[in-house]
Amino acid sequence: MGDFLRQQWWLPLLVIGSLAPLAAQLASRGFLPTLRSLDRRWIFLLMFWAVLVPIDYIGVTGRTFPEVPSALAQTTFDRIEQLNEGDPVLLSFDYDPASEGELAPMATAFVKHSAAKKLKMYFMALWPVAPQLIDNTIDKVIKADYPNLVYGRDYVNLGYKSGYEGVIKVIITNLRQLYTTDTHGTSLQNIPMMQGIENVQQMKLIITVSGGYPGVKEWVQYAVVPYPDRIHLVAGTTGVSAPEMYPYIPRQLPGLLAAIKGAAEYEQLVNEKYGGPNPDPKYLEGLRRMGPQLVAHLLVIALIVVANVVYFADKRRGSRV
Amino acid sequence: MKRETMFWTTLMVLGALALLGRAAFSGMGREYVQAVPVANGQWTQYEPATYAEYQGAIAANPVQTDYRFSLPRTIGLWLAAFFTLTVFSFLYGDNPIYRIAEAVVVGVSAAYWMVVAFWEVIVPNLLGKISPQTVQNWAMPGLSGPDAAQDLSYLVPLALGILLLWRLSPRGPWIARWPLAFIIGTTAGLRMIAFLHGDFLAQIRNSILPLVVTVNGMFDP
Repeated sequence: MGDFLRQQWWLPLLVIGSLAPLAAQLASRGFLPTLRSLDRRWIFLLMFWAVLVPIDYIGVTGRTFPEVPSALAQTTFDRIEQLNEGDPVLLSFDYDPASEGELAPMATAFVKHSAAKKLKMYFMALWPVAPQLIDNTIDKVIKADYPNLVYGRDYVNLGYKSGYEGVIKVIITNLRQLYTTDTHGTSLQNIPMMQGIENVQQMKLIITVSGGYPGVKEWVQYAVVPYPDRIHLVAGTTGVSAPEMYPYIPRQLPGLLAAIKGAAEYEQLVNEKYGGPNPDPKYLEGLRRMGPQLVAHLLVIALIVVANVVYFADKRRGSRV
Repeated sequence: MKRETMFWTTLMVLGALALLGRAAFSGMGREYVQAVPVANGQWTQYEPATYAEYQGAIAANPVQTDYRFSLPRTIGLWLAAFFTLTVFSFLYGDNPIYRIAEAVVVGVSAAYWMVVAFWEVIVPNLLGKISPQTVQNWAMPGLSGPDAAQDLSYLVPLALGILLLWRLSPRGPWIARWPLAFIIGTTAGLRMIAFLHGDFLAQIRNSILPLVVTVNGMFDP
């Protein structure tokens, strides 16, 4: 913190300077009268600093806020960790750039974990723009850090098929009915790692990164439910979708990463085991994004508490009158 | 002009000038690519490269051609930046430039969906099943083997698809109701069964838990 303040000495001055009129108003008019008629732009300014200061701190120092992995993140990690080298895993990228900010860190961490474990990765997508996101993740993780992994032998991109849950319904019994080629147009029979793969039930684990419909819910309903003993699923999803998935835990969905918080916890686990002493910043995106989110959430909680204090103080004063 | 409008307009113009200045004098906003030979050098694929990689390559060999400036990608980058700012301009107020960006996003998205669906589904999964040889010669040389065997049962979805598009015809658009009824009926049936099994019954099962659990004859707290 000391180094940060020495380097960015102007930032605290800027924050304090911009909030000085509010402090002066609080001092002169009093706490409750000021808050009763508080201009909402002060809240916008507070939120601006609550987001910007942690971003600047993390960007300048390279340090991230500590994370304690939750049971769900730990189970997700353990499920992948239990697999053996060469086990097939299906990675379904079911999201688009609109939710990439929340989901890309966990997708990156899933691929890094799978690559580090030397699992055979079968990529597919239920969303039309996701094949591009798969390519980006492959470039970022596999081609950059695991160049010994060979396309077609260690990983394959099967691409997108339209049909929403219909795709899942078909590939759990017959993958080749829908997928005749990979995303580059190569016949599946010419891809070594597709030899003997007839359906998704042969996957040791299905990992879906989902931004909505179709996504986790459809994988549970159309893949896990008909074959509960053969198909095992872990997922990462957005914050708004996660509450809908919690009823599936633990029988239908043993592991779930919810939003950036889940991504950060999982990143922590993956980096502890496979990241080395100084993990590449691309594997810290979840942890980095948790900083501003944490401070912004604390600010929102503080504002709710303050607003309630004002409300009950007014109510009490009103009852006395 | 109102004082507030003047303030924000000046701020926007200054921001735009700053961006253009940086682009002109500092190299910001330029995209570079690396030429990568594929298929034993039969053709060249251009992959994204960073400015630092380009500078490093130039420093090592000033006449190298592997790393190069990419005009199409640079135009794409600036268009993306422009449209992003244009969309954000709605925060300032509804305006014609925002409307243009909105129309472009809708049009490009629809076109993207159509192209992806055509090449990822209609060509390999419909035409490729009905006439694999033609598709192999025309569009997908990789389509071969037992997965590419002819299957004339796919004429049924082709016929249903044509009937669905009949809605656009001025004569007999009611014909489209038949495939639509098939789609709705199938989807409703699939989803009802899935919800019954996946949510209703499974949630009841998950809710009914034994009050006392014993492991090897011992009480498990």
